[in-house]
Amino acid sequence: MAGNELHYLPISQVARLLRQRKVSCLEVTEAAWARIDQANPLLNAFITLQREESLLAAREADSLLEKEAPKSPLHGIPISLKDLYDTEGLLTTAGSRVTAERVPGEDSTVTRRLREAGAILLGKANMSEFACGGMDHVFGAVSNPWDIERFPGGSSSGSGASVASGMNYASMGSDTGGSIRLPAALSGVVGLKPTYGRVSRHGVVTLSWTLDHAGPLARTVRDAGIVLQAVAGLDPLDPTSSPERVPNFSRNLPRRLEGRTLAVPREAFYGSLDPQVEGAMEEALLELQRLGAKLKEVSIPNAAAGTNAMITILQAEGAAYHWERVGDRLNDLGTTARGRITQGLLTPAVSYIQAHRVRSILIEEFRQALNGVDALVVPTTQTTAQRLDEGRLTSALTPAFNMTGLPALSLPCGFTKEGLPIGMQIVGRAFEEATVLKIGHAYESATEWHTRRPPI
Amino acid sequence: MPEETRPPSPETVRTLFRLVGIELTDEQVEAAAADVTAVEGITRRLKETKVGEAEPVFFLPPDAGSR
Repeated sequence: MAGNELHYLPISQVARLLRQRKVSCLEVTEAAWARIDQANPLLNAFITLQREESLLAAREADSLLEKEAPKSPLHGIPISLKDLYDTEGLLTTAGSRVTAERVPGEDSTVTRRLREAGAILLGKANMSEFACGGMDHVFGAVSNPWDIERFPGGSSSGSGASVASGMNYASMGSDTGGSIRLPAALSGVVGLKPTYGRVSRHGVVTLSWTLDHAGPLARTVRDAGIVLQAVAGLDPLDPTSSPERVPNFSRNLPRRLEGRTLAVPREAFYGSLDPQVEGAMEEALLELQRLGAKLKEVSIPNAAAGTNAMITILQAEGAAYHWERVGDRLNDLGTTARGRITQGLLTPAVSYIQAHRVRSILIEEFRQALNGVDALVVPTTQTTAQRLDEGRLTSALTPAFNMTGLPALSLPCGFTKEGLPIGMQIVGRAFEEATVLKIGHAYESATEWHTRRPPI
Repeated sequence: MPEETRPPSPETVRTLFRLVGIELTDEQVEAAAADVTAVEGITRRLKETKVGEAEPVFFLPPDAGSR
């Protein structure tokens, strides 16, 4: 099989080829490297790459397959981690000069679980400094594969760009205010922010203890479910990790939506959209109805207050986490991270507490909005990917789901006439990722957006 | 100019940062003043949100209480 086809196949299909011995783990990994050699010089999606180690791991994965069944659908699948997941013996910079030479002594829980599932780690993905989300990247700007003069979205920028361009099959990102779903939407891939507590944060460099979520970016909804399966579940090392049962996330994914009701909070999420984003969302809502879903308009009166409260919490907790480390190294930080941390240091305690009071209001309003429906459907962003020289970030419609902890899937729902991807979020009740993935899969199966490939 | 958008004086900026253990150099004061103004704005907008009797939630996953 030609490498240029192999690197874009879904994980589910590569896993089948590996089981059938039609392709080897080494061939799959070499195909990923061929694509990295071609595309990464244009995109700068990685901070650290480990070619020899990954090829060795692929050979070991092949040896295991000669003796036993695959460890999981990720056995022999090349992936990457945002460079804030601790990796034993491998540089983990969190995208900052301050921690540019940090080499962890042990793996994060997510890293360990992915290794145990048989995934092949190609390297560590580029990212906004300390996941703060700006376009300034200490290790060089990341380009969007759909237009290399544009930003792929952050803070998991390298994860989005690498998955969209076929350099790896999936990448683990992190999401404090939208950092998985924004690069997913702006890079034209799938991103899943699971429920708070579903995936361990142990060994993931913190930005905000109460807002951070770990989750996958992949090219299909099923593939996102496969990666979530490997990393989800209780972890005694993370005190906020949940004992909630982990269902099968990629089994029985339907193609129809009869019997489903989807809530549409127009007032809170559909105002001020770019006309092309608005058009794509309206068409997506029609498609969901054609698939059998019923739509219901709902109200979330305080949704707009969520972003300001989220920033207050993010900055205060981020400043507390980084205070000791960067207190005398402010000049070593980029503009965005320095601003977040210093503003967090200056945030009054009363503001932090008020933000948490807003948070409890939002949790209740979303609980009511989700009563009697299966999920909410909202755009991921108001606009599409901005130019790297623009400075201004795309307006995000993502923070409310960090505040509420609800599971939110972003998946492609269209392209602008300039060829830039547009994303839609499907948001479920707590720990109902399986429902969100089912609805996303049905929509994905009826559309062709996920099959488009960037021009590079 | 409304009071809330008036830039803070360098002395105010230095004092606020000293409270959190940071001694600013002359070169850092201008950027730090912008941070003070940004926090003022965030705080003002937060204050405008009516929270009624809502109690804060801290460090609780969505299933807390149902375990």
